[in-house]
Amino acid sequence: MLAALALLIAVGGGAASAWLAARSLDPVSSGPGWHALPDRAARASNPYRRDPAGRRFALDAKAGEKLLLVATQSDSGAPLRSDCTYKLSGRMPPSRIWTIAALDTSLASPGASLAGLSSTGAVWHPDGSITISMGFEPAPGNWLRLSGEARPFVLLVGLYDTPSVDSGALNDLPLLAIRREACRDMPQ
Amino acid sequence: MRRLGYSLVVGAAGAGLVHLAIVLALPAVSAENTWNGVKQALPPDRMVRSGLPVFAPDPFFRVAACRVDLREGAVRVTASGSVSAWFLSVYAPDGSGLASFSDRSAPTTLLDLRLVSPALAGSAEAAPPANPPLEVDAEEALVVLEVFVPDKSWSAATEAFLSSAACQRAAEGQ
Repeated sequence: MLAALALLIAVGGGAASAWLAARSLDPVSSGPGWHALPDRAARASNPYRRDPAGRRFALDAKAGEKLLLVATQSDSGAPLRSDCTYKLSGRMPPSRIWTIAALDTSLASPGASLAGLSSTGAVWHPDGSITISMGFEPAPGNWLRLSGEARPFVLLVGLYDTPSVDSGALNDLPLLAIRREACRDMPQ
Repeated sequence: MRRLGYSLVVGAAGAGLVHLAIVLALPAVSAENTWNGVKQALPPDRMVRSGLPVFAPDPFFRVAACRVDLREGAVRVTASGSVSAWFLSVYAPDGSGLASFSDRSAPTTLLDLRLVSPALAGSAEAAPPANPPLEVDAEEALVVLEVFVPDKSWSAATEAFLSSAACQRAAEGQ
């Protein structure tokens, strides 16, 4: 009886933790700021890379004139949560089309789109920079609505028809700063 | 009580071993499983819209995909209609990119692409000079067509475009 319990814990616990590890983001690509979705070379060196919503099949996201970037944390390293407010600011790399979307990372509905903004609907500052508010309460200007629940999400930026594809270092690209402002369970 | 403790400890240690075993086995399985997964989900030479493994995570894009087998001959990918923007990418079975086009970079804004493998490129039937076949270095490939939908007002046109998308063996002279 107790041997069976040990066996159950071993197999069930081991399998569950391995499954969770495989679904979670690669720790190398996690960290504050933006990260390019894996390309072929990166995948060859690290087979556990997954796209932000935990899906299994990841095509070379830099094939052609397209670049996908993902962020899971604010610039200070705090994981993105839907019960916080954020300010994204800065410039986008040059591209014909860009999109930004908040995607649900919960196991219940991985990859579900929470809110999104594209270059066709965005409002720009006169100097060419952009500011996007994220949070549960509506905000003037560009606003991405978050659910207000204490659940993690990821930000996905897509750049299409962009000359930025070949830049090996994302450091060279203008990218949005991600600043967390406040969260529901934190003192204001 | 002590025996319960023992079994919990043994169980936890065993869990660590099982975790390690699964995680170490994953790399050997995953690359093969991805192309096999594609082959299971997509019949060859047919443009598919629903039930796709997700190829395009961007929620602003609707996607159709077609698995092509170039060993038997050239494959022709077409779609017609007017959308905000379309992007077509061709991938090898290992996920690496082979070619890409958009409605801006294609020879014309019409989507009409012929794919041939190197083995058959030399014997390809004459095609209109304005639209030469694209030689891709693979016998099997995945064609992914992504259409940009800026907002709901583009939904109908996008739907029509993707419904018209076809992926078929190119007949002689086509």
